[in-house]
Amino acid sequence: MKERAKKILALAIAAVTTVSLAACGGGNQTNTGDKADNADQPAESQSQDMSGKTLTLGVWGGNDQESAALDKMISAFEEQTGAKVDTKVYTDYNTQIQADFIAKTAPDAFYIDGNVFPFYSSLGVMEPLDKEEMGLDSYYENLVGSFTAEDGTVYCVPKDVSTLATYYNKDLLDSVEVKPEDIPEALEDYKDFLVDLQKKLDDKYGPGQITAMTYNPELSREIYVLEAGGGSIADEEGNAQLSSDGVVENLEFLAELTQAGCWKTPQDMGLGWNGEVFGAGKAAIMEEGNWVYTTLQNDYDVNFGVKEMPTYKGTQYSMAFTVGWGISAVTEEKELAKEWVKFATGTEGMEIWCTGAGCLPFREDVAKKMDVESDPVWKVHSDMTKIALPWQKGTTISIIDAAYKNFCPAVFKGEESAKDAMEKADKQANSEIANAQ
Amino acid sequence: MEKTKTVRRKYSNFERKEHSQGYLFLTPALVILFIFIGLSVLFVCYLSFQKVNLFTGEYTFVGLKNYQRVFTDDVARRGLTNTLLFSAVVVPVQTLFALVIASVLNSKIRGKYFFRTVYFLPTLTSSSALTMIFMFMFSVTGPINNVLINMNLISQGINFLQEPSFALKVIMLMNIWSTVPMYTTMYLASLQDLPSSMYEAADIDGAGPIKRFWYITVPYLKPITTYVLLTSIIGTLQMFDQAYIFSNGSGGPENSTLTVSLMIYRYAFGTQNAMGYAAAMAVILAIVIMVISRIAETANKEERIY
Repeated sequence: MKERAKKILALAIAAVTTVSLAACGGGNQTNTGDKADNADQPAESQSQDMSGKTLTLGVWGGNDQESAALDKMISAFEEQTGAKVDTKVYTDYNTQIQADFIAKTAPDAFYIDGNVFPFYSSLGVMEPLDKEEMGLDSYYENLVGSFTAEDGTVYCVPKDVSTLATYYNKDLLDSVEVKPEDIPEALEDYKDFLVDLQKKLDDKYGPGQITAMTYNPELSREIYVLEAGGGSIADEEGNAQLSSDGVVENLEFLAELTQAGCWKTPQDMGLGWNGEVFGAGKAAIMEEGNWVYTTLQNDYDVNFGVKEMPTYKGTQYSMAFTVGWGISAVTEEKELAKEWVKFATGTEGMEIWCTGAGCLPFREDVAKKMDVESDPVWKVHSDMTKIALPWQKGTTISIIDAAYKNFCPAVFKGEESAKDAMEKADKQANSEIANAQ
Repeated sequence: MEKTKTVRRKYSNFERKEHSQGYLFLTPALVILFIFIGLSVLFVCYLSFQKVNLFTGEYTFVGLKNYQRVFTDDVARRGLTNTLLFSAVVVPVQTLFALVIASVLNSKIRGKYFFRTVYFLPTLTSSSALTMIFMFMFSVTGPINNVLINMNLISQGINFLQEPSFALKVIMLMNIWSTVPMYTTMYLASLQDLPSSMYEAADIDGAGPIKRFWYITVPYLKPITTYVLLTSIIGTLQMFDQAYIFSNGSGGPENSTLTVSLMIYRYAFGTQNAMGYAAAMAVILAIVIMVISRIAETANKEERIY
């Protein structure tokens, strides 16, 4: 008898385990089913046939303002179409969504960063979009290009743009009797100006306490300088050529600024990023994107002004960081996903998003409607949109950027010549690119 | 020594039932292990001979090409050197520290329970949080630099995090600091069983504290030492999270914090889409770990003769 009892117990445990495992696996499906059922009820009064359907959006977790703006957009969309919208928030976006693409379980519509767009568009994971249907004519042209693949197919609709502008600390400049107008128009004149400013700051606040200007040793901030004058950091096949003459010359120009001691990274100052250094009053000038604007207003007590980016070699540049909405190539809700993208990037959705999240609209009509011109800071960032270079360069840019970050600090510190360091960077990047092929 | 002979005999009915029950209980675990570990290992081995595009599901057999590339890849060599150096410094130091601290905590010093608790605290902190704290401590304006400046050892803050010659050392320090308590606890648990009569006998024979430590504590703890060595060798050779957070995933400055695991991660999950190459590196890393662990194990066993 005892033995039988044991056996029964064993079987029972095995059964429970199996059931609970099965339940884990099936959980997802049951959930979605429930949601779809719920969405059925209010939907019947709607005219569109989107009711009862569920749309999943893949997004990264932004700050509180961004999340609130997205929620607001979603409820407006749900009201209009009767469809139900779920969000899937990724923490490590590009790693996690790749896994979803591979498993063919990607959300119906998702964010795509302009920088990695060439990579994703080469993989066939996104649905090609019709230019006219999506109304792409109303977008700034140089930025729609960010989401156009090499063969001319558009895969994403831009959702917002951030541009770099020059921020200066009014009080700090005042305290050493430098006027904001004294900040040179051309990057070539920065060295003399910054060295002078640094000296004044050192005299007043003690050596090394405050830096004249911060910079970031990464391609996303320096590519326009490095490529100025016709050079390119990568050849047509995507191989790195950081050590080509034009690029090296420009890098040497930047290295002069750091070696003069007036150009420092946030890490040199012991802090995390430009906004922190500037906000804490430890930098007189920085170049940052418009995301820093709300941060400076909310989190720091700093009296600042904003002006346009300087020119280099006669041309004015800024960087544009863009994100777009893409649609999964394998989604069953293609129509609904398209509706969402149209809504989110249309006048209504974009206005909710850009006002709430604090970024620049991608369309001139929305920009006018939101009256971005009335705020002097927004106006500068908005003006920069037209001349800004989108942060994007082929599928190999992340490899080249990693190699650049790896070897450029030695150049900036003056420990190695720009040519030698960039040759090392090229060698590393190109071997990685070859390994990946 | 006489070898015991195992005699095969027929199992009784009862025993056979017992056995089948045993297997039944093992089944769930075995199934899970097979699916999540067994299959993955086999799949990695398979991938390492392929050029893979996981997105389109294209697999092309390339033979040993991935392996050939690993052996001619300078960056991979740098990654392996860093990893081995990391292991070579961290493993002996942390084992020694753990051993000494454990035997001190096992002695009759005052407040040993307080110290045991305090020493165990670092283990409870997650390694990513630890990395952030260490990065703050070692930043240019951080406490370490302030102390050094106040002691007049240096005139200007050293950028420990951005200097290639310091970066890996900071991670070593952090790793030692955070793993020593774990191993201390293991040693301490074993020391509780060490009969005090052995120390007393040694005392009578005139052995001092150092001799007692060397001739009684160390040999007695040898089995634990083997375990500690193995886990820490495996742990250090697979080091990833600290290097990843420290260098923001790049392995910089100048590849000084590039570890093999970090490289594997970058090839597999970056925008390189080179799963086959990553798999080949993972297989090689596994072999290296197996070989080194085996060497450490046998070396430690041989010493056991005396």
